[in-house]
Amino acid sequence: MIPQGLDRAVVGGTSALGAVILTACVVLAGDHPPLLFLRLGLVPLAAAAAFVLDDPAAPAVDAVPRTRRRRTADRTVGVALPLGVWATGVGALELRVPATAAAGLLVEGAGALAVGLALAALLRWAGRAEPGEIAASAVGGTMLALLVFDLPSWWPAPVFPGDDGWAASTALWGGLTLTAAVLVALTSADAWRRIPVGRRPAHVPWPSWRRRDPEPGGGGRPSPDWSRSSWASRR
Amino acid sequence: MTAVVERRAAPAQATLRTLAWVEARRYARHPVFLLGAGLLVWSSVAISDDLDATFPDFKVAVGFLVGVFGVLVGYQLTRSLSRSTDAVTAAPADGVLRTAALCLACLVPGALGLAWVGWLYATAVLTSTPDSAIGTGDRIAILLAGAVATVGGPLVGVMVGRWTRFPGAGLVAAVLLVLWTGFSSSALEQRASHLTDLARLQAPFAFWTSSGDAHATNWVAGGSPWWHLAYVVLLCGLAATAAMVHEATGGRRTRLWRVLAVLGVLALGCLALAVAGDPTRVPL
Repeated sequence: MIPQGLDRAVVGGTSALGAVILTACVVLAGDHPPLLFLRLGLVPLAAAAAFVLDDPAAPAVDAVPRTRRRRTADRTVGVALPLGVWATGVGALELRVPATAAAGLLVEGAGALAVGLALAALLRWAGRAEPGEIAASAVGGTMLALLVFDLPSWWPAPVFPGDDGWAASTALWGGLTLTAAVLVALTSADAWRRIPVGRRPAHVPWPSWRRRDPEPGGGGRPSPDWSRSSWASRR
Repeated sequence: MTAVVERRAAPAQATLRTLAWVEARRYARHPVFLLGAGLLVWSSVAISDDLDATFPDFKVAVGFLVGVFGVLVGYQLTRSLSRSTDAVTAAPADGVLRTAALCLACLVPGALGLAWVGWLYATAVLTSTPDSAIGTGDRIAILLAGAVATVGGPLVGVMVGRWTRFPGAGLVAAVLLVLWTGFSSSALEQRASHLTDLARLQAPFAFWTSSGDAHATNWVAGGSPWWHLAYVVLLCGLAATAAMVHEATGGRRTRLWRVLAVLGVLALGCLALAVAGDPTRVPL
């Protein structure tokens, strides 16, 4: 099921670019997997994940009786496309070059996509209806920088390992994936709206409560003091 | 009765100067530009005491942190006005002028790139970096190509912002630029020939030295750094002209297309002259 409102052109287009780069990697691979180009193919896929939560109609959609967490779950299905492209590319590369560290690359890809999605969720929580552009630029720019430059020697785990360091890298990306998933869940909770003191909540069937009288015979509980709302008495 | 005061329209040059100044300030305050500049300072501190004979290729730091990040900045600055198109089109400046102002704003990262290149060269001279097979003139040309990349990246961003309509196009352009450069620099691993020099130098950012075997066998590749510098300068002109063509109409559009064609032919000529040099690799 493709969620309604998903910008299919952007998610599909960036995933297609990633697919083209991964296909070129599989075709042109030699004795060793071309890790630099493979990870360059991961950048547009992470960008695609960041665009999944873009919702230009957010002000209208926020008013419908459907929780934001439910809508996020629906939209997260869109991440399946870039994730599927990455998994297929890594699988094909492993068939072509058996020396490929497929498990590590799969965790790495899932982590990069999860980070892109989490950053978009965080920006949406901060009030941006279309966080994709900023989230994609931030994640993509960081990934490109990490691919071009080496990290300082004191950094404990390689982010994009080459010959060794795969175990530490997989642990790092696995932790990032879990953290990102928790962050997406937390930031997708519906915003709690404070109801001003003295104002009746609109969603409570207030008049029917107010008309309730003590049971006949005087044996019932006393009627609450409706002259002052219970919301106001919480001060 | 309403009095109508006829005011003379400001000359295009004055409008362009004003707009360019506004855009330059927007560029200088962009968070991605500031982040790239900060990382450049940090990396400069790290490399300042580690310069060897291959130091001209350290220009990759400024080329990436200011140039490639500049693609994102140029794209976002160009697209940032798309939501207020109605108000912008009512302003007394046409689209070509606004695009030209954005292109002029790209001189802000260019100034930073030039300053950084000057610092790197001065540091190499002052710290007595060992002489190598690369002559002084060629060193300067290779370094200046790094400064040109800091202008070229943002210009590509402006061009992509003018011609595309889908979100994320700036990042896609940045990825393609890195992919292009990475693919062409892999020609350094092939046997020396005019063909491999062509594969390496046709990219807007080229590496000239290779450090195989843990710096035991450093060498400099063939080709002419000065003609390659002219080639990348012309590529910048192509990007700026292509950005302006989008908004141009009538006779102005025709003229810009002609300029584009002339610049393209000149760029091909410069590339041919850059490759025409001796392809032999010289140990450093």
